[in-house]
Amino acid sequence: MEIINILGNGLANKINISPPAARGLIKLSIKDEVGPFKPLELINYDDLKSTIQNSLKARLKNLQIFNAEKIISDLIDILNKNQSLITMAGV
Amino acid sequence: MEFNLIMIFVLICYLLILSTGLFLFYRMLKTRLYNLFGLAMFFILFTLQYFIQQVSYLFYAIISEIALIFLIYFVKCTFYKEKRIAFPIILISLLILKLIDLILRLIFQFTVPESDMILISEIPFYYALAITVSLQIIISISWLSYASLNVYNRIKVQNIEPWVKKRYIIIGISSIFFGLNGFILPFIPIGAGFENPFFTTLVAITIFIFTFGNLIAWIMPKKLREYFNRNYVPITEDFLSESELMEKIKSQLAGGGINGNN
Repeated sequence: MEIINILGNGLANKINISPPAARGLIKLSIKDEVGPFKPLELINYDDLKSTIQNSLKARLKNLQIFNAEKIISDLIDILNKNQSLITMAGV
Repeated sequence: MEFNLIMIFVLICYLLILSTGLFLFYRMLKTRLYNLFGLAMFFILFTLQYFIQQVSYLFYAIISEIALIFLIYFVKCTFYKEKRIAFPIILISLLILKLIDLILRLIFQFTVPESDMILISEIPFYYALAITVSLQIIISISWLSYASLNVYNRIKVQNIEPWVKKRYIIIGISSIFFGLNGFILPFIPIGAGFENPFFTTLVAITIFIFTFGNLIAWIMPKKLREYFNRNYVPITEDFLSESELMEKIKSQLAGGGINGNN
């Protein structure tokens, strides 16, 4: 899913981990948020927004990431700017 | 003969855009991307208005307005879901323009383009109507075009599948051509209507580029996707358990280093 790649790159840059690890962290957070049975292809903007604001934020805090609030706000900004990828790459 | 050929060509374009609309409706149900409803309905109503304009102006006016509202609704839900100001401003502008459009048409019984001659004293009112019609097209389609090309400019250097980038650029550019319709309409001579071969051909070409562009962008054949992706190396993921992944992240955070795909 292209939007996860973009968010993964953004997160990787901010907390200095590799993009695959960042994508993995986002996918785990999605699973936390929407449950294990919803396929990634059916994830929409609202799912991603609540994932970032809730489960990803919680995971970043558990990892004791400094400035998690700012990182979450930046990721929401990245999501808003690229939200159309969910549709454009999903059809 | 020439005119009939152009009209058959335009009819084929409308059928293409109808099939794109029906395809998007099907994909909306399949993918649950409900924002596609706006675009699917725009394409379906866009075709319907072509047939209805011969029957009833009132229905035509209502359907063409609803079609444009569906279009801007799609742009809002797809590109600017969190922005609350642009959509109401554009919606109110469209409604005001449509109101002026309706009043002028009801008073003077004009059509745009006008195929009958009109009184000299009515000419300013005709051009006022032509401009309101043009602005409705330009405002709504420009928003789609701007949104698509804006995102394309941002993502063109990112590691995203090239066919997705092409979809943005095809939609953006084909929408510019459709928007050109808005600039052409006021220049069609009064009394000529769509029987003026030059302007009719011009309008037919812009509609063809818009409909064919959207057909290709949305119902992109697999071969074409593969062609666009020919130099693209897909991202591969390692399959790690949750605990393995978290360990890896902790190790990278602790200064264990970032190692390529690990």
